[in-house]
Amino acid sequence: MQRAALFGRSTRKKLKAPRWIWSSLSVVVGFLLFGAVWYLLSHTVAPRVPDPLATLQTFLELIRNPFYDNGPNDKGIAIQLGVSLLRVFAGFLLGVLIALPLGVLVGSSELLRGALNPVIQLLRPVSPLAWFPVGLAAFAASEKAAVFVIAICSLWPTLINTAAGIASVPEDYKNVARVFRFSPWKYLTRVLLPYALVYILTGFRLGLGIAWMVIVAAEMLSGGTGVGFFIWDSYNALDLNRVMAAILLVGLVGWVLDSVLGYALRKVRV
Amino acid sequence: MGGYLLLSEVSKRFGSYVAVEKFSLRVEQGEVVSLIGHSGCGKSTVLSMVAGLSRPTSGRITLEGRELDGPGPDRGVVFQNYSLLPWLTVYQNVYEAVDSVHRDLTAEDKARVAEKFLRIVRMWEHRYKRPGEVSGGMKQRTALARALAINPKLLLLDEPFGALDALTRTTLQDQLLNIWNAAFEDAFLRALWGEEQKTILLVTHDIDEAIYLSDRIVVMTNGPRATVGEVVEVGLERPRDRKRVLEHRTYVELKEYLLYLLTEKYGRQEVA
Ligand SMILES: Nc1ncnc2c1ncn2[C@@H]1O[C@H](COP(=O)(O)OP(=O)(O)OP(=O)(O)O)[C@@H](O)[C@H]1O
Ligand SMILES: [Mg+2]
Repeated sequence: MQRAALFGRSTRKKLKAPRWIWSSLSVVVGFLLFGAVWYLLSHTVAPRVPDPLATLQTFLELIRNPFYDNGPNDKGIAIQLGVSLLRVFAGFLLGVLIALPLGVLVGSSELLRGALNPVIQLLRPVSPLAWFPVGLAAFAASEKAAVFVIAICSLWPTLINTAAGIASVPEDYKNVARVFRFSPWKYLTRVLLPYALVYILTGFRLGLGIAWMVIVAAEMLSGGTGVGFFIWDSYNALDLNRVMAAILLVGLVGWVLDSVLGYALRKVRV
Repeated sequence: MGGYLLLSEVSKRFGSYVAVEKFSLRVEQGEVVSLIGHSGCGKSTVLSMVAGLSRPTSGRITLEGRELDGPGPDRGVVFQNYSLLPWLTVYQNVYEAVDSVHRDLTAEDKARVAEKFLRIVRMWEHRYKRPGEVSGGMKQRTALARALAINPKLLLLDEPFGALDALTRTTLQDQLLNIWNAAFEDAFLRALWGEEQKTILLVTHDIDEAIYLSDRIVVMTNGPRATVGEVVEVGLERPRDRKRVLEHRTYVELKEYLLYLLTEKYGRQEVA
């Protein structure tokens, strides 16, 4: 039965039951399996890592009182998450403001594509940890450096996807714009961007995923507030339960962000 | 020289494939000229060069004495595959074209122009639908409305009625002739654009349609190296009455002759 739920799109039909029962059952089974492996590992090879039960308990404690504020180093988890989300949105938005226009330019000119592609390939794989000192040097403030790191790490998928979308606009649509004398603005807003929208949203989705992944690292370095700081601070206080619970939360929030953009993408596709 | 639209020895090659070679044609202002020929012979290629969307590899095309330089608002095009923008509604597809070409009109007048032409092609009720939600014939009618609504002096139509049922086809053919004749039935459009006779270059597969609409019919030879095979004058007087035309002796003879040209003289022979 587990096999059917996990792998069997075709076998599922034979086991006459509503689809949603099987799909939710498979989710439960997936989590149970994951929890079991985690439990085993934490009780064998990694005994200092909290097991799922302890983590879940701390998790519930954290979200029971999420908004308390006892001064700079002791805030509720919702406040920490909120701060991190704000930073992520600020950095991501900054990235979009750079990547979207640049992507349109790069996508519409083969010459620019040739010129900028090597630069993009060079900068894209650089780790957020490496960018942080650059941000610090440039802005002389750790808060701004964190936003900068998020921006520069998350803008690549938007840039690359936008450029790919713009570059693949079919000749037929360009001809419509030429025959009917569309102004550059109308060409951009009625032809290029609508056609590339699916590409752009896909870029956003990947970029936001990266931004959320980078935030923890950025905040470990910048310190002060946010979920990254929370994790590092808990580790220093030797409270590994809180580390694991925070990881769970980071994962959940990331999942929600991804689902929102995934939903938008499905809306656009149909 | 002279001539309103002049194609002199126009050739087009795609890589090593010579699609059209030394195509020469002279169209006077106010004429309706049809291009017929077998599928793939190069009709759309010729039309798109006249539209200014692609450049001839050699030869010249002049319009009113000036050599073509890209597309212009003096030419309205109905593309063979409609080419409506799928993310815009039927209405927006027409309106955006009107808005771009008639920059001097007020927004209100632009909206009225779009409405008039959507009504002419009977797409007004469907104006909020997107191209993906309407039939092929409806897409074709929308594309026709878009091309007509920019009030071009030269209309370039690539099988504009191909996907329509016989009834819609005949009404739209008559509407097209009205517009060609500068006889806008609508007072608003008449006041806006006066009476300027249009010129039409039409690609069609339908011999009856070619005879009914045209002054001359250009039969193209088969590709590669397609060119003008025969130019047939349609000696039927205008205005033409559909019923009377069908019974006319000239019509019957023309149809037979065109059929002969297409099936025998320029019939599809397999090249060894
Ligand atoms: N962009 C292109 N690149 C390469 N070959 C092309 C291109 N456009 C057209 N051709 C070739 O040129 C020839 C003429 O094509 P064209 O579309 O003009 O034919 P057509 O007469 O309009 O046919 P149909 O009646 O089927 O629409 C064909 O052999 C086609 O394969
Ligand atoms: Mg064609």
